[in-house]
Amino acid sequence: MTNKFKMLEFFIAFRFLKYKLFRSLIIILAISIGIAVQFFVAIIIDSTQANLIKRTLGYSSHITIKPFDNDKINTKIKNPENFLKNLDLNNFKKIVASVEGGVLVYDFSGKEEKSAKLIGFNNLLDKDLYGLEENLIIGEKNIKNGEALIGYGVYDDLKLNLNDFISIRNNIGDFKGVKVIGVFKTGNQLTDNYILMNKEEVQDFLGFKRYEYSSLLFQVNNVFDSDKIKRQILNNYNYPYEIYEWKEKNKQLLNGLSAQSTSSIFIQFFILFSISISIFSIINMKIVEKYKEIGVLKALGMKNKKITLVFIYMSFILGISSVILGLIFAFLILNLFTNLVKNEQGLPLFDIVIKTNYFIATVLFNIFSIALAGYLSSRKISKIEPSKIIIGG
Amino acid sequence: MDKILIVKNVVKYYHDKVDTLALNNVSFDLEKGIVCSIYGQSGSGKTTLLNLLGGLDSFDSGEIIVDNQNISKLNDDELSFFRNQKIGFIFQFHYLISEFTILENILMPYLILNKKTNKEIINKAKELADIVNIEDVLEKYPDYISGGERQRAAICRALINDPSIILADEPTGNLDSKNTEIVMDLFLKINKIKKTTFIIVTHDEKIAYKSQKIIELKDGQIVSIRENK
Repeated sequence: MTNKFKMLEFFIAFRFLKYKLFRSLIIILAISIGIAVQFFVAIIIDSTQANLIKRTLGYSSHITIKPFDNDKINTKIKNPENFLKNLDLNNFKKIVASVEGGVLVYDFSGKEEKSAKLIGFNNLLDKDLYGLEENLIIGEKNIKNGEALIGYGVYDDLKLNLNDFISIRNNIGDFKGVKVIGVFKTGNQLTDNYILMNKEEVQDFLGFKRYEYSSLLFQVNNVFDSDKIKRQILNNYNYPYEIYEWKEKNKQLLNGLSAQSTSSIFIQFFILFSISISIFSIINMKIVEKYKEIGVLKALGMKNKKITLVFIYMSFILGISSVILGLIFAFLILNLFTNLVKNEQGLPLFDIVIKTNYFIATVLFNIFSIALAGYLSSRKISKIEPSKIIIGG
Repeated sequence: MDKILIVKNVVKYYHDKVDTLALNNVSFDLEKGIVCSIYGQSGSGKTTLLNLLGGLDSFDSGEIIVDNQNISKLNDDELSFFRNQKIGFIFQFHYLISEFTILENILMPYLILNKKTNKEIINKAKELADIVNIEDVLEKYPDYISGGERQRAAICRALINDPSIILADEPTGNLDSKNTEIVMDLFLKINKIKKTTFIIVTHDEKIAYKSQKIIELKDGQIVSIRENK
């Protein structure tokens, strides 16, 4: 018996809740459903956003440096490695020097043709931009001379098979035959119409010297920081080239993503607000229910601050239990959702993404808001006069 | 004999829409270790006076000195400490807390200050329970024992901190005649054993006449103070 009273106020709070256990459990269940919805909505919106970003920007350039269209002098980027000397590489996930050009592709019979983009690249930082490791659907990715990796758009439109030969034609009418050794699919319509070959072969085919490239492509760690990083690049070096970042060319996508983020925050805020109001009302009700007990405790010599602490603890216990149960519900619902809602390949529509820091911050903020609601509603305790409640009552 | 209580010219108004005079220049004192009744009809001011003596309410003028402590000069926290250490309350309704066992209820005044128990205090609680004949129900909850047992548990709770004064407001008001007799006998027994001062508010003459001193109130004023030998 000795130790359980060390936190007497907590002990009283726990007993008050335990006494009407069924009612306390109903309260916890009700609040946890609100919390489950809050987290479910947040995770779904974050996940769809992350998947959308991955699909549209995951294998694309976030910042591009390329010659100006009208420039007759600086028509190619020379020695791109020099550019990296002035850059803070911590901002970047991937940097690729790319040599590229529009081509026509023909199947082996020469009957079917399609426009595509021929690309050869040099990875200056990290792995390839196009995520060949995870996006390869058939074949292999190690390209040798005379071989090509093609996007799914080309593969499908020309009705090709693995190891088929294709002809590619450049803008001056030269032809080149290559063997298809692999097919990749990123889900991005643009990228899926690329043909990837050895950098040297592409440079030769498109008339570039070994140190010359069409563009320098950057992927940043946080896509929403691309405009900031672009300004840093501009400040550091006086390029005679055009520099643009993805937001300038994708205003609709940006607006869509911003709207999604904003709506997620709004939804979460209002759910949390309603949960806090509920806790406020519940604790108010509990105080009214316990008026006599409060009067007795005051008469026995318990200070107002300590009695207030009892009710803060009550809201804290209700809050933590609700958050834990709410999280369990949220994950169960997510699990159900990803198992029930699938694409035509039978795979989940998108990967679930949980931003850990944000998630922890939200959990803590929930608990804090609930405890604050409890504190605000229990401030009236100091106004309760025990003489009115217990004597003559 | 030592004075345990000195009340000097106490005036109390209830300040509502109209100011109502509840106590009008009340003065008396009490010796340590006696059983005193405050007797009067409903509305005479006896409960108001009890509230003031216990530091549960404030008054407009005068002085109340309990065990050498002037309670009109105490702030909220000091009054809480005063109530915990110097006063034991026994109410008409037992006001035990349903969520705690009888033993926990008895120990509550001690726990409020000390936040832990020890063998000594538990034995003391058990001794008190023994005196009032509720030693068998200590592990039970208030809802599962009789009204008489609950009131006796409340008496033990009032005594656990060895207070200077027990203030009892119509302690037998909710009890049948048998339990009334038991409770009054207990008061006298405890008074004899522990020399605790009792102030009992009652409208029942029979109960008042069991006390050594009777203070009669009418319309907020003392009409008589009688020694009952």
